[in-house]
Amino acid sequence: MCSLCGSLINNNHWSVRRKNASSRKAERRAQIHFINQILKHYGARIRQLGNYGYLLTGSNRSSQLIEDLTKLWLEIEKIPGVKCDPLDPKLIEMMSIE
Amino acid sequence: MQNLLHLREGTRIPVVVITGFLGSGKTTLLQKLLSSPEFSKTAVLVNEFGEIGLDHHLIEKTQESIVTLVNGCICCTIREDLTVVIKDLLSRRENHQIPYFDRLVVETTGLADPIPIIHTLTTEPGVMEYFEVATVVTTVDAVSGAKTLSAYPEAEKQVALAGHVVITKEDLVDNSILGEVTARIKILNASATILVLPLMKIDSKVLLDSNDYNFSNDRLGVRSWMNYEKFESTEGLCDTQARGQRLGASHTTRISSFCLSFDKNMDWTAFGIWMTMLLHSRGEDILRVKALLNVDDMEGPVVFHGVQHIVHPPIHLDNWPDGDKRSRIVFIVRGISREEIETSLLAFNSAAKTMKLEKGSKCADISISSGLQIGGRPFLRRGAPSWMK
Repeated sequence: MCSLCGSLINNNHWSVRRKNASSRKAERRAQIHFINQILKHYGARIRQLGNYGYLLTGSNRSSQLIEDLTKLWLEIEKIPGVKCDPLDPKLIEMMSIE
Repeated sequence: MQNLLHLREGTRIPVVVITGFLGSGKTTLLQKLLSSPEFSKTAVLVNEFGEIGLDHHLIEKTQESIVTLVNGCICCTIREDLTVVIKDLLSRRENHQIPYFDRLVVETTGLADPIPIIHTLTTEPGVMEYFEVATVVTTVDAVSGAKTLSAYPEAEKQVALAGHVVITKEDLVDNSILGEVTARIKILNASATILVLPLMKIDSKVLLDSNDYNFSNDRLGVRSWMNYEKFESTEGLCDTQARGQRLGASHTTRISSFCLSFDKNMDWTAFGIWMTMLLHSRGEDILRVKALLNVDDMEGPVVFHGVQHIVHPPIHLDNWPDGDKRSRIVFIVRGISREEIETSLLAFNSAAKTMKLEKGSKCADISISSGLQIGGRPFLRRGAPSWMK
């Protein structure tokens, strides 16, 4: 548990690779950058929080702590009208342009 | 104590789930399998609707280890009971209250969805440490199988999740009907092994010793687990949806299986994000995913396995099963087309690669002006407070 925010630290998400510290940091930066490209479509943004968590900021400027990728999509869908679907043609079109 | 130590070392008890629609011959198959002397150390959980566990009375020689669940369907109402019963079985085995068993067979009801059983065995604390799903064996009645599969989504799902499909009552139909049933099964799950044999001739070891839900951690084991040759050997197509369209439009809107292959390496960041997003939004319709991925900056392949929302920890292998190093992903899905998935994954993968290229060139620019050191310590660091500079 994080002694600062009280959240349960979960570093067991299947997408996290076991790597040395510097490679893991680089991979995490790339991951956050890529997620933010996707989140443009939903008017949201994330920032790195500690070694594993994320800080999600929605269009209404409120922030939310997120433990892993699975919970990220759940939280984003709390934004009214948002449905995170990677098969959405509009999202795919945006990804292709980017 | 010796057995528990054995379990702690990482060997878990394999669980074979036997499923199939009402009257398709599950219990007859189970009877046949358990009559083999080499399977005397098999515990059996049976379950039927109603107060009387009828199947219980049909199975012989295994009564000591049989626990009948009397609360209704295993999957929908008594998942907690399944956990309790399995833990109890293990506890009684360790206390020598029941004969030692090294395999567990769970027979579902005819209307059961096998997924909750798989979820219980793979995610429930106290169960997942000691048991593992080895395979799902599904019985399909040759006489009414094609109609049942068209009429009942439960039956379709049972076939879609199978590692082995046993066609029963094959002696009661002619070859054309048998061919129709087999074709229907291949559309739902091309990677499953289909057995069309009189029950008495089925080799019990083939079914009970198979391990297609927990592939052995070696390159040859992965090859048979993926079973992608089955997709490629079918009319040169890596796809069963095209054949489904020929058999009838309604088939394409329901469960189908296909294998995607990619020449370009997979970006792990893109794959992880894409897959979590896909399982979040369409998890109910992604019945099973098996993948052998050629990931950027990794020598051997990464093996990925998911059953609906549940993902097994990916495994990195040292070597490829053969010379073909393309990424391959087998999907068993409901109401999603091959094109939708392929287009989306390709877009995510390309976007991630482009992003990394752009980011790499920007990093190269930054590195020229940064990293100045005096006496091995940073002299100027971007963003550092002025007192540090």
